[in-house]
Amino acid sequence: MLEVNGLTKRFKNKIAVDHIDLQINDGQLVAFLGHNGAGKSTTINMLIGLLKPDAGEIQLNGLTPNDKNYNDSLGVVFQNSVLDKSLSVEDNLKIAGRLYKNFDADFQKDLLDKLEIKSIQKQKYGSLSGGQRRRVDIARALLSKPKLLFLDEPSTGLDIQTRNKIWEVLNELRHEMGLTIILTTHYLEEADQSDWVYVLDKGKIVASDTVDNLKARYAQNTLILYANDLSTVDKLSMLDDVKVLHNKVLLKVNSYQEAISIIEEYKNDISDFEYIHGSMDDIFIALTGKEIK
Amino acid sequence: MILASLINRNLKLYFSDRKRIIFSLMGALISVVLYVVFLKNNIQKGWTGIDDGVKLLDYWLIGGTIAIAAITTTGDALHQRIYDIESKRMDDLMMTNANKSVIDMSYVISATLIGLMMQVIVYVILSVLFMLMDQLPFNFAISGQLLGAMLIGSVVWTLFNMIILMFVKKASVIPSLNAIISSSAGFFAGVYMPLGLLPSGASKILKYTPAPYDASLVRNILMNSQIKTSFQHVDSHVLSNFKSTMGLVINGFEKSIGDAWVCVSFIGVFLIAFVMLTRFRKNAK
Repeated sequence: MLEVNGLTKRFKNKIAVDHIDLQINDGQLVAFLGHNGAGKSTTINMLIGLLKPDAGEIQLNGLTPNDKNYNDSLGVVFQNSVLDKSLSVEDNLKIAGRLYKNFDADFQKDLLDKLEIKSIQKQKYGSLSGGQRRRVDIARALLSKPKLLFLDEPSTGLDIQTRNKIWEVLNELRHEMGLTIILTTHYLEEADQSDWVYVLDKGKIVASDTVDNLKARYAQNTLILYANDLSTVDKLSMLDDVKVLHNKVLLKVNSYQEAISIIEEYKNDISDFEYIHGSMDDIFIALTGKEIK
Repeated sequence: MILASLINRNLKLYFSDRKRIIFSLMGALISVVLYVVFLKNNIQKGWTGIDDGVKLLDYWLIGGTIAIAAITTTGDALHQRIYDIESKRMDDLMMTNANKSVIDMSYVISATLIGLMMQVIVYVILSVLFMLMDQLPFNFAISGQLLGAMLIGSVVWTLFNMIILMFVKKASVIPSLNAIISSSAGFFAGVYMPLGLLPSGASKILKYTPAPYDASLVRNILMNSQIKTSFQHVDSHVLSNFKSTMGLVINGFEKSIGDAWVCVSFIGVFLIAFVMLTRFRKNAK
């Protein structure tokens, strides 16, 4: 669906996006993971045709951003709320709908139901809470029935209920319409549910793979053993890749089989154990040397 | 449909903000406050020989204030474009089927309509005010002509402001720009000081702007019948002297139609400048 080669953007002397290649297929949920200033939003702005790349090619189903109809299949939820604060939700959506040639009123009604917007329709957009606003933003971005939806940090500052509601609707639309989604995020659980993750750092893609493969490669699982006495702690600390915290011993293990065999071996010396899967955070630290914020 | 929806948006945004409307109107009406408080008595003293001089002066002031309203309110309406660029609202609009030219055109058309409506409001407010103060009669017969003049004023000032605002990228510049434009508008339209009383250098500069012609266009329509009554027993050279002093005849254009032509020519010039600037910027990018 979307193919990008050698995408590059410079701002004065600073390189914001550095020769990025992307390959995104129909129906995928793709996450761009990175710190502030990693180049995520700049990449998105080029992909939606708002920013002209200094170099590189973008092809969306055979169209380039210079083509007239390039935007027709795109929906964008911008990082900051961009609708008119002094107008009602209803007016905002009505005006936005009329800016599309193929506007479908029934589809809009359906969206309002799904995103539970009907009860706040008469309120001014500026008076809504962050979560309500975001729901309206998403409804607005989906008005034109896009095939590809860009979400620029959609969940930042939202409560868990709103986040869940939004993803419930988006997953439903992915299922019903085959919607492809590209999102930038700071939230690891959002990246976790993606089909494909691009990790960006200083304008470059430092890794691109499925979540499982990234975890297998960069995030080791941790086995925590709770020892009964100091001699056990000493014994356990002799093992490879070990960290000791009071009576806790943290071991990096590659598989659950390895964990089971260690537990089996020390079952009489330990009082308890925990097994923790490697997370996106581990991947991120392994790749960029910094924790994600 | 797309253009209509964008215009509808701009109008709704403008009229939903009462503070913005009031301050926009205040920018124009401040000249009336200054006039009533400081200038009226002084200027009137020189007019004692004219029948119903006060009424003539009132019409003259209404005409000038309408011209100021055209200058300031079209500018205020066009500021929406800067707010939209700065708040990234423009980015969202660009994602729709509307292209940049249609979006820009929507700002121009909305500003013209807003300018027209605000001029009508200013006219109504001042007519009522002077009707109460000086028993100024309200002339319905000139409504058509007056609306036409206001429309011309609205178009010319929308284009003028649009050209200036093309160089503005940040909303923080707007208050200073507003202060400059609204304070100079009073002088350019010859409201604080009649054109004929200005030093010749200053009046020459003014004549290269549409401001005195727009003011003269509206004033001639408003004052026409009162001039006929007031000057019926007076020598014709007194009348022509009065007209050129008060900025009712500029560059020999005796009637409204002459001023209208000058304003339309300015519209043409601004339109060409606007198109050239847009092209130039596009190429520069």
